[in-house]
Amino acid sequence: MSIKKSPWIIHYDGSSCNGCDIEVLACLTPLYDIERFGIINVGNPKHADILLITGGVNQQNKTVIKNLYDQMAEPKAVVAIGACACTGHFFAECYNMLGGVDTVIPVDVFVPGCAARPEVIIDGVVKALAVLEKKQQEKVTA
Amino acid sequence: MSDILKMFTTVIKSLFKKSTCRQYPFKKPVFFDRTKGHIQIDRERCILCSLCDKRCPTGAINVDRNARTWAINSYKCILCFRCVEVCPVTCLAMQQQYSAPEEIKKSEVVEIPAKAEKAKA
Amino acid sequence: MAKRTIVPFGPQHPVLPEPIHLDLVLEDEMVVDVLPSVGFIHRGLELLCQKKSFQDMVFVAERICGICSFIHGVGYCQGIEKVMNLDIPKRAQFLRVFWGELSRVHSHLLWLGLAADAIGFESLFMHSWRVREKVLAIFEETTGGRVIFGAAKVGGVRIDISQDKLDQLAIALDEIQKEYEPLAKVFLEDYTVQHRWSEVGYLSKEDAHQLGAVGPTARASGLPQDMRKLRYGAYEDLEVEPIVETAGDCYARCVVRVKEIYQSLDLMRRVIHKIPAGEIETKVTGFPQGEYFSRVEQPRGEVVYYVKGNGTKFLDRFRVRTPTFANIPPLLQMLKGCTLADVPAIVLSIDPCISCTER
Ligand code: SF4
Ligand code: SF4
Ligand code: SF4
Repeated sequence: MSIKKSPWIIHYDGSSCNGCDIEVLACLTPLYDIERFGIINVGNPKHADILLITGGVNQQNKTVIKNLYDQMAEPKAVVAIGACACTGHFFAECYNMLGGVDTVIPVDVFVPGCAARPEVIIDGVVKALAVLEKKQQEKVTA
Repeated sequence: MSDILKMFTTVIKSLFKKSTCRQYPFKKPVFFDRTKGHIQIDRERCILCSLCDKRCPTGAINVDRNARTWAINSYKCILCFRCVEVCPVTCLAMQQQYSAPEEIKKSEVVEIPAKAEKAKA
Repeated sequence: MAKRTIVPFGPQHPVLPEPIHLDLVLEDEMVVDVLPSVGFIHRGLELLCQKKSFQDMVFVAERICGICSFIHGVGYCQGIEKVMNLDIPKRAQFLRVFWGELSRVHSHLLWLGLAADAIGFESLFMHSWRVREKVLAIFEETTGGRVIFGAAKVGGVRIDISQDKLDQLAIALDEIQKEYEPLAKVFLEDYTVQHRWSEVGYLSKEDAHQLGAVGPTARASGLPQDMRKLRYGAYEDLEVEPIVETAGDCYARCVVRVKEIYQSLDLMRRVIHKIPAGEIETKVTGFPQGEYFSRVEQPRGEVVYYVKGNGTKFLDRFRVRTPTFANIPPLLQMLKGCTLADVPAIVLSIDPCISCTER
């Protein structure tokens, strides 16, 4: 049973500054190339197993993030990438921000850094795989 | 015809060229001297002046004088090294190794030994 | 009249990494009207200037956008420095130009990759990003950060590059140029690229002027507009000629960017050649009082910063007019009358940066 062998990811840009965004894309490109592990970036949430979110949540996109999360099939994992997505750092003080992603959906792995380096993002995705496996086990036994 | 020839030379070249990929995680990540990873404290030297706490733009550092602790929330830190610049005894340093992703957000708390203990040690 | 259909585009769309929502009004395959709706990235960071001291605001300014992060920081610092009448050491100004131009190369390579991806030319995307990583390596080597490096500060720069390092960088730049050349050749000569972009998304010179296009979008339509001609900072000593194309379509915008990479690489070599020794920052005392409009050229075009100080630690007002904001009216003009399949290519052709538009 292996989502673990080829997890598909979907990337959504919350309210990030693009810094973490392009680092997520950089993971897909030759130098880091996570396609080596069968990881594919897809555009459709219904196909995806792992949701990568960069940037925090604001008033406008909280429904979008909720929708995306609800549309994904079980089991699913969420990885919050960058200081913005984890806590919102100084943007959390802004009038339009709610804070980190965990204010609207459950987050499984937090990836620190501003901008998060591709290596950390890869580590984060690997961590999310373990979470995914666990969730699948739970589903099978339940 | 010449196009096909060109294509073949490119293909053959790519076959034998060294791969561009850094092969992370099988190989160690490459760091430079100045790479910004995480903030490390030398606990022996800290004088708990809490300047770093005051100047940090994101409020990632928390200094508690009574409990004698210095705490950093790496999920808030934006690696601007402002704290490194302001620390009067230069006990903070930027390390190259990045902080690892975790499943729960927690601050890393460092206890600062008191002067007397330092003298004893 | 044909039946009208409304097709929603975004906010989560595979071709754009950033969320923007467009309602495309179609008649058969033709786009007749476009209604953009924005605000998915709005953070409200301009108001942070009343909570963060003017020196901390540099970090906020750098996080307006992660792609041209350094230039945002410099533009803001320049505004404050003008308000406070600070004299910036020459070396700091040259270093700012160096990192600024390097950001331009990084940004354009990133765009070339994304644009190639949008037309389905996957391998070109990979190659552009491979070369881009070399640029990022220089960033990391000199400042420690890959995309956001916090090197700007009010009064100068925070980190110096030693002369030995600069000489090594000159070699690294040559290597980048060598790797970039075959790539540029594909963009300039390849049939697929030309075929996909020529005569798509036309913007006339008059429209570009009247709708207020900036940056490569304006220059591709024949307007020689480049803020570096204002001679701010070290551009005083570095002559820059804007690169102008006249065709006004998506392909011309691509050609402008391809050529600008050469220009920037050349500028950096001149910086390395000319950079004077000396201090990298001046001491900042007191608080800003007064207001200033600072105009800087970014990879995407002109950006304007308005700063207003009131003599305290905090600013009264900080305002940014970003290039993508100026390019949205021309974009809507380009989209009218195109086919649905061309929409992603045209939207990408202005190099939209949503996060700085909405801040
Ligand atoms: S964590 Fe930093 S780099 Fe990432 S989106 Fe937030 S501000 Fe940008
Ligand atoms: S690096 Fe910057 S954000 Fe991080 S703890 Fe130091 S001052 Fe705060
Ligand atoms: S500024 Fe330095 S000495 Fe002062 S509390 Fe922080 S780490 Fe300790």
